[in-house]
Formats: sequence, structure tokens, C-alpha cells
Amino acid sequence: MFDLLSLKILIFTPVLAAIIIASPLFGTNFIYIRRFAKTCGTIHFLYSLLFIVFYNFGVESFYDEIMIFGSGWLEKLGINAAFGLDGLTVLLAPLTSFIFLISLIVSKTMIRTKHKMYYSLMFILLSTVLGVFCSKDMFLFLIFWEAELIPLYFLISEWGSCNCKHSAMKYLLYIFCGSIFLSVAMIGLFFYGYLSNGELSASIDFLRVSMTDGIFPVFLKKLLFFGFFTGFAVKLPIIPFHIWFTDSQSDSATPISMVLSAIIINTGAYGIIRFNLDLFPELFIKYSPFIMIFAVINIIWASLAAFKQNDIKKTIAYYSISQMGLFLLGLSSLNKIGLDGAIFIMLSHSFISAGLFLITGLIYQVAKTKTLQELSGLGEFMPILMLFAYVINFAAVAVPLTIAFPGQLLVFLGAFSSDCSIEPLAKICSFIAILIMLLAASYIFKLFHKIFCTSQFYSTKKYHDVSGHRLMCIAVICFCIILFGCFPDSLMSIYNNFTESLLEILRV
Amino acid sequence: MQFFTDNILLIFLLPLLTAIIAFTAHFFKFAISQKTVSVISTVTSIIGAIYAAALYYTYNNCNEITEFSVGWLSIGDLTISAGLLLDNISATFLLILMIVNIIIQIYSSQYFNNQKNYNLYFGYLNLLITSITALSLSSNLPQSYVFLELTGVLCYILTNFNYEKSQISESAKKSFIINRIGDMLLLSGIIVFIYFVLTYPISNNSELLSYKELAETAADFYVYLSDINFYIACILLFSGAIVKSAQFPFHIWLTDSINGPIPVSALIQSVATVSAGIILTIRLLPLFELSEPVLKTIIYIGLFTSVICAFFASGQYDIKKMLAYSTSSQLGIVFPAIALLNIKNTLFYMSVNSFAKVSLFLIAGILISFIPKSSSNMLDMPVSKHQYPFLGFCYLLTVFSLSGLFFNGFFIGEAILGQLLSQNKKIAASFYFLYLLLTSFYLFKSYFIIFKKNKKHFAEKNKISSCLIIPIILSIVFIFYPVFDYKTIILDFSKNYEIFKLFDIIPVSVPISVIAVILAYFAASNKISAPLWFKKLSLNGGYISNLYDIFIDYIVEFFRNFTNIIDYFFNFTAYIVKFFSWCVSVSQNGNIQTYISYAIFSSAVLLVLYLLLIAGIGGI
Amino acid sequence: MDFLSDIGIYHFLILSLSLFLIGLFGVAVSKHILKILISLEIMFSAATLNVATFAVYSDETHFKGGILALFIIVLSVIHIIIATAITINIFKFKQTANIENIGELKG
Repeated sequence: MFDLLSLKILIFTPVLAAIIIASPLFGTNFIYIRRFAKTCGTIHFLYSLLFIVFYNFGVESFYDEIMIFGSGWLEKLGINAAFGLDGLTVLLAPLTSFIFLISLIVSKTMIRTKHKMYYSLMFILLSTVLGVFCSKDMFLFLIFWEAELIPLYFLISEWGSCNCKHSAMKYLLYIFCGSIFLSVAMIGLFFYGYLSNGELSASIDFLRVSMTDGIFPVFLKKLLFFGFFTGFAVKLPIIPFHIWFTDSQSDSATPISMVLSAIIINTGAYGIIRFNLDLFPELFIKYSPFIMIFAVINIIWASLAAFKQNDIKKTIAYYSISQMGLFLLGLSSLNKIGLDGAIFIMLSHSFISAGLFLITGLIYQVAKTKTLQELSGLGEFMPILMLFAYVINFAAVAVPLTIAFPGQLLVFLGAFSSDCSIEPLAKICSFIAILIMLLAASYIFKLFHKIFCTSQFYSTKKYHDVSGHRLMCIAVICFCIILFGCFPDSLMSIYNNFTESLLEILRV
Repeated sequence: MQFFTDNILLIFLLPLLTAIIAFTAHFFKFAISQKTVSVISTVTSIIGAIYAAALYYTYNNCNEITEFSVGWLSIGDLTISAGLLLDNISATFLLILMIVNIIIQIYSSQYFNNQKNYNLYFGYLNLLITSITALSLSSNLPQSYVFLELTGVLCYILTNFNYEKSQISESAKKSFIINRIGDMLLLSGIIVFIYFVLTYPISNNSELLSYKELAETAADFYVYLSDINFYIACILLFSGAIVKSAQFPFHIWLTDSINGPIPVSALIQSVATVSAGIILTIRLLPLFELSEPVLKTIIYIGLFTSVICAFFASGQYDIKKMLAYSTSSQLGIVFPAIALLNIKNTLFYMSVNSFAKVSLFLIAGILISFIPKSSSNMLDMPVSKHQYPFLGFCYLLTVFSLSGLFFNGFFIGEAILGQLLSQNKKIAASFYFLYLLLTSFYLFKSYFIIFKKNKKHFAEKNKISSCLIIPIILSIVFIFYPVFDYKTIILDFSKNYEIFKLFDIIPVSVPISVIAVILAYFAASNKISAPLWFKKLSLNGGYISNLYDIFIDYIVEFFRNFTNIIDYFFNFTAYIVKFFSWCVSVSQNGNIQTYISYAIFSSAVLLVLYLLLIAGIGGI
Repeated sequence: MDFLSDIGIYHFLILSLSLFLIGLFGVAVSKHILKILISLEIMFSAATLNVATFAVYSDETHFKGGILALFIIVLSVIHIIIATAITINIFKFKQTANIENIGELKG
């Protein structure tokens, strides 16, 4: 079993699939390309599920390294191509694969040109995101992080609508500027790790040890912390760096929006946990009031800005931003409840935003418009879609027994009971964050009502309801939302040890 | 009897299964017919009622409490569990719920007869019943919250059932959003409360969340009375209950939710609001009893709501709105009753209220179906006492029992009054008299308006289907259910309260009701009428609904423009970058002459600088 | 007085500098080809004067600077002939002598 479940295979099989798709083997017969892509996606997803099944709790599992001629990758520089899974990433990797699978199935009718390029780019993107989640070495992380930029740039700019090239360029520039800070901080950390310890290595475990043992000047630590934080803050959109996110969401095609919102944002969140929380615990504790303020600004600002939008996709993008604000709030509360809740939000928000964008895409296909003014009264024609939209709508509003509720409850609890250095701040922040429930109810509900329930839709066309593979996709997402809402312990027990170890680091 | 307790899950599974059958019947239309679905639904509700009766019989007389619980979410010290609590409160309420369930099922099987989405309606209805059952049986605070929210969601889905008409869907949306405010307040209260639980010095903290533990260890919370957080927690928890039970100032959502189908409104207003707010308050009462200000708040908010909603109800001509306001006002009386009286008697009052409300709604439903334009204005109802004597008699009986002239609602009100007067709360007592006056007034006024002897236009005498009449009969019978359970309720009541004290109060309260009836008779025949501003204020519900709309509009508008700042800032930055790049690009004009000029000019400057440097180094 | 009456090296250098600057100004500003060419010619003569001045006012035996000046004059004559020929052909072709209009490079 050990040789069968190898992370190298998990991460690099999509690249292989991309090369096969891009090769002259398929010609331009897009039906075969699509079927091959969906088959590869399914096999990959099932393979990644095996990792959860055979996951060994508490032990670092599936440690895998790419060896070239018996030694590491860049052995002299101390950079190994090492992959491994721990409690959090063993959930994130199959989630990534699942969302990609759903978007590949859905792109049957939404992508109409240049199929070869599309499917190969999607697989390359899958591979790079998995590399980000699974890498155990700092520079390997950076390489996969930067490598995410290119396929996503092409995906946004080629198959989007109206302003897509402009938005894709915005995305590229913002993320690239952020990762400049990230690269500089990583190089600084690497260098000072060598200086303080005498040993040249970029592996994250080594760096964690050297941060606690070695003597680093405090000013340097602060600089490195800010560098890392800025790099991840652009990716996990923190207001005011969120412009790339809203613009690229509103201008890209549906499967790509799903991937962008459900997975790419999670890489930023994962980066904050992996680097800022793991490597700089005492600085994180010291700056947690400010991070809490950032989180609350995220929540409130995104909710308020979502009120005035006319474009459905921008509203959902702002909803994603406010969910990430909740995630930050949970992180900055620094107790077990808050951390558990934050990670649960990371997972739940993937499902919900994927579902929301999927519904938007289905509506767009039928009604050919994305602006709120022109859409109303679709409920008469599409009752089945309305039923699933009900479920996802209520999930977005955090009704209990959907996947959003446990995460939000735990985050609010954790934020309220955190011992923050500025005492009333935690309590005020958690109350303000509860306000989001009301605000989210207002704008998501208003959206839903306007689209489905009012009766001003003057059209003589007869619309078909969703059926076939699209119905299956959205039914699966709704099923997962309700399943994990009724049994949240199934997910929480997997990453329980991970949060325990994080708390150990924070206490020390 | 132990069999019933052990298989308690059956009482959930029955409606849930019916819901699943109804949904499959909706989506696969050829499989099961409409008739089958409604029959299955009714049969399961009858089985549920028998089950609930057995449970009631088991738990009513003894003080036994049974609890089952299983962990749902566990993080470190905190375990939120899912469980069921069976004691006399929940058993009583379950019985009321199940009987109302039967009534509503029979009525809706006829009411929805010709509409599409018949099976879908039954699916949602059974889901709602499941959710309310789970709410009334829930054993701890977070679980109550979960099913409370689910009830609100399902109420929204059901009131939004005819979503093609935009007025209906708009009002359903508004009622849901205001319900959300209550959820938010309740969640804040739960969070503050869990915070207390976590910092409490016992070993297994999360047990405190369950109601059974709370009742036993509540006295230990006495140490927290000085902490402001305790008051905040109590107030927040109670305000959640207020919003869910449609007390002032959150009674708006109830008047907005009346646009749904009649059986749904009947169910919501008789059972759902009650279970949500009042059961919650009863369970949390050990906590609230600790502090005097919280009890006072409960009493005064309840009394104030009852008076003001009765006032709003008196001016309404729309029968559904009048019934909505009357629900709020009658629930307003229950809160002081909880605070002052024994809980059993309160439940008795609540049951009278529920059944009376159900019967009123069902009769109103039949009457509305006679009006050609399907409006619900009482003035348009073309019936008379002689045409439908049975309906008139049922309506009269219900109105009697609600208004306090008959012995059902009668004694409880007087008991409350007695407690208030014995504690020298004169203002509260006067509130109660006002409430009595207004309630009798509007109830009898509606009776006189609808069933007047001579009206301008008569409809032809339609045959009312038996499926619509049987539920009404059932509900009226159960208004008098204390007669069935003579021992526990009436004897127990008379044990607690001295009859003599009641005889002091009766001479005051009965004449008030009689005066109100006479006033109503004259008002209905337009012989006397209140000043116009009075009428208008009452008709529009004190303009509170309009206030809400204006308030929300202003806030939304303000924030709309406020959040443009970041976009403007980034556009400004982009503009500055563009400006500088324009400056630089101007110099690239492809003209060789300008390039030559730049070159010569800059080399001259460099030369001068070089000479100055040399001079500087060499000389000064 | 001294400066204005006794002519030394500086006077010639200032003259050549002024001539150079005048010619430079003409090249940079003019829009007519012939004007540019004439200004260019002025610059050539300024350079020649400069070379010749340094040749005269230095202790040199073989008057190398003067030979350079002769070369410059000859080359400038050739330059003028060819430039004029090109200009006449351009004018035949484009009917205009404005440098903004006769350029064909894009961008």
C-alpha cells in the first residue's frame, strides 16, 4: 500500500494528463478531449480519497521526496523537493480534486472554444495547487505558488466575458506584487536560518526549529512576518487588496470562477496558517488584535459593498471575501475553538461558493445576462434549480444543518472567548461579526428573491430546467453541504491533531 | 409505557418519512397520486398524536425526566450534543402540536385540492412538523437554536409557496429577514452563555448547556449576578425569544407572513411562534429567575405588547391581519404568566390559545374562499348568520373562549391579575384591564361585522366540504380539552390559587368584557366610531412597518455610497501612474531633432557639472 | 578694452562655439530640409574654425591641424552635394520639404 499511495503520483499525474491532452494525439476532436479529461479527473479524485482512508493520524504521513540520482533536488543549497500530508492538507487535497472535477464536468456546455488549451491548463493548475498544499519545503512552496499564476491568467483571459483581459492582467499584477514580498521574506528567512544555525536548509520543519532555537533579531522577525503576511494577504483577499478578486470573478467563465473562489483563496488561507502561524507564533500572538481588526473590516466592508452590486458574480465574490474575514477572525482568536472553526470555514466556504457560482453559471446559460436588473421571476420556469438554489442560499446564510453553521458558530465562540491583549476588542469584534449573519441574509436573499421569485419576467421563450450532468453536479454539492452540516465531526476529527499541535506551538 | 419512551425517535421519523414520500411523489409524478400522499400524511399524523397522548399520559403526573443525548460537535472541553428531553412540559406541548398537526393536515388536503405543487406542499409541511417536534423536545440550548432556525427557514419556504406573485414573496422575504434579527440576537446570547459555561469551575463544562443541568445548577450562577455579561446574556437570549414570538417591536414579521396559505398561517401562529419563543423562555427560566430586572423586563414587554397589538388589531378590517395582531397580543400575556405563575397553568393557557387561533384561521379560510376577489377584507364577506349558522356558532364559541367571558381563558387572566396586584404592581394591572377591554372589543367586532343579519349582497349558499368542517370541530373540541384532563389541570389550578381571591377580581373584569362587547356591537353597525386619527393609527399598525422600511432604506443607501471609497482610491492610484507614464511618453516622439536637442542639452549639463566638480576638488 | 582689441585664442573659440550653437539650434528647430542642411553646414564651418584655431595657436611644426581643417572642408562639400541630390529627389517624389511629412517610419 505504501508504494501505491505516493504524493509524487498525486501531484504530477495531472501534468501528464495535460501533456497528453496538448499533444497531437487527440486532434481537435473536443468530445474525446472532454471525456478523457473527465475520466482523468474522476480517477484523480478517487485516488486522492484513498489518502484520507489510509491516513495515519498524528504521524506525518505520506512523506515523499523526489530524489535525483540518490540525492535531493538541490542538495547543496539545502532545498529538497519534499512532499508530505498532515491533518489539514489531507482534507484540502481531495477537496481541491473534487472542485476541479465538478468544474470539469460543468465546463461541457460553458466552454465552447479552444478545448485543448482549456483542459490542459486546468490540469496544470490542479497540479500546481496540489503542489502548494503538499510541499514541505519553503522554496518548493514558492515555486508552485508562482506557477499558479500562469495557467490561471490564461484561463481568465481567454474564456471570460467583457473585460476579461483587463481583469486577468489585474490578477497577475496584484498577485505578482504580493509574491515579491513573499519571495523576499523567504530568502531572508532562509539566509538567517543558515546564519543562526550553521546548516543550510529550506525545509519548513527545520525552519520552525531554528526560529525557536536560534537567535534572530526582533526587528528582522517583524520584517519577515510582514513580508509573509502581505504576500498571503493579497491572495486571501484582505480589503483593500481585493480588487483583483472581484474583477476577475465577474469576468471569468463559470468553472474558472468556481475554482478561483473555492481553491485559490484557500491557498492564501493555508499559507497564513503554514507560515505566519507556524513559524512566528509569538509575533502572531502580539499582532492578533490587528489581525482581528483586519478580519472585521473584511467582513463588514465586503457585506456593505455587496449591497450595491448589480452584477450577481460580484456579490458572490464579496460574500467569499467576508467568509475569509471570518476565517481570519477565527485564526486570530488563538484558542482551540476558534482555530477549529476557522479551518472548518475554509472547507465549508469552498462548497458554498462553488455552489453559488454554479447556480449563477446555470442561470447565465439560460437567461444570457448577469445583471440583477434584468433577471427576475425565473422560479416559474426552473423549479428544480430553485429548489437547489434554496439549499445553497440557506447554506450561505448559515442556517443550521448546513455546512456553514458549525464553522461560524465556532468562530464566533472562539472570538468571544479569546484572551486578547486588548480586552473588549475581542468581544466587540465577535458581536460585529455576528452582524454578518444578518447582512448576509439581506444581500444573498435579495439576490435570490430577485432572480427567482418576483414575477416581472416578460419573456415568451420557454426555458428548460436543469437536467443531466448539471443537475448531478449541483445535487452532489447540495448533498455534501447537508451531509457535512449534519455530521461535522467527521471532518473535525481528521484535523483535530493538527490544531492541537498548532496550539502547542502557540503556547510555547 | 416504556415502549413509547424508548422509541421516541419514531415520532420524528414518521413525519420525516412522509416528507420524503411527498417529495418523491412530486418529482416522479407518475409514482404516487395526490390522494395517496394526503392519506399517508393524515394517517401518520394520527399515529403521531396517539403516540404523543401516550407520552403525555406517562409524563404528566409525575416529575420524571428522561434524557437521551449523543455528541454532535466536540472541541476540546466543549461538547455540543444532540439530545431529547422528555418531561411534562415537552409532553404537553407535543400533544398540542400533534393534535394541531392532524387538524392542519385534514384541512390542507381539501384546501389545496386543485393546485399544482400539492405534494411539494405536503413535503414541506411534514418537514416543518419534524422541525417543531425536534424543537420542543430538544434538550440543550444550541440544539434549540438549530431547530429554531430550521423552523424559521421552513416557515419562510411555506409562506413563499406562491412565489409567482411578487407581493407574497416580498412580504415573505421581509418576514424572514426580521426573523434573522432574532436568530442573531439569540446566537449572541448563546455565545455569551457558552462563554460563561466554559469559565465555570466544574469538570465537564458542556453539560451545563443542557436544560436539565441548568435547572439543577442554576442557583450557582448567583455569583455572576454582579457581572454585566450575565445581564447581557440574559437580555440577548430573551430578545431572541421576543423576536421569535413576535413581541413588540418585532411583531412585524408575523403580520408580513400572513400572505401565505391559510393552513400554514394557522400552523405558524398557533404552534411555531409559541414553541419557538415560549418554550425557550420556559426552559431558561431558572436562569432568568435569578435576577429581578430580567423578570421585570419579561413582564413589562409582554404586557406592553399585548396592549399595543390589541390596539392595532382593533382597527383592522383585514381578518388575517387582525388575527396576526391578536396572536402577538395573546402571546404577550403568556410572558408575565411564565414569570408569575406555575408553568403548567401557563401551558394550559397556551393550549387554549393555540386551538382557538387555529379554529379562527380555518373559519377565516373558508370565509375568504367565498369572496370573489380573494381579498380578506371583513367588510366584503357576504355571509350572514342565517346562511351558515354552524360557522357562526363555531366562530362565536371561539371568540367567547378567547375574550375571557367564558371559563377557559378566564381564570388564568384573573390569576395573573391577582399575582400582579398582590405584588402591588398597579400599572401592570391596569395594562391587563386595557388588554381585556381591547381583546373583547376587536374579537366581538369581527364577529358582528362578518355575521351581520342584513347585508347588501349575499352569496349563494355553497356546500362546504366536510374535510374543511371536521378540523374546525376538532379544534373547538380541544379548546375545552381541560375537561378531558379535569384532574391535573383544573384541580391543580384550584390548589394553587385561592378561589376567594379570584372572586375579588371577577366583579371587575367581567363587566369590562361586557362593556367591550356592547361597544363592539355599536362599532360594527357604525353607530359609534373612534376619531379618524385613532382609526388610521390602528389600521396601519402604528406605522411601525413603514418605519422599518424607511430605516433600512436609509442605511442601505448610506452604505452604498460609502463603500465606493476603495474603488475611488485605487482608480486614483491608477490615474497617477497613468499621468506619469504620459509625461514620460511625451518625450518619445520619434523626431530626431528633439533627440539631438536632448542629447546636446544633457551633455552640456554634464560638462558643466564636471567642470564644477573639478573646480571644487581643485580649488575651493 | 584689452579683451576687445587684442584678438587671441579665446575670441576664435567663442566665435566657433557661437556658430556651433547657432547651427545646432537650426538643426533642432527647423522643419525644412534645406534649412537643416544649411544649419548643418554652419556647424561644419564652426568645427573647422575650432580645429584651425587650435592648429594656429599651438606650438606645432607641421601644421597638422590645418590639414585636418582642409579635410573637413572637402568632406563637407561632398556631403552638401549628395544631400542636395537626395533632397531634390525627395522633393520630386513627395512634393513637400517638411520633414514631418516625408518620414515613412511608423511609430
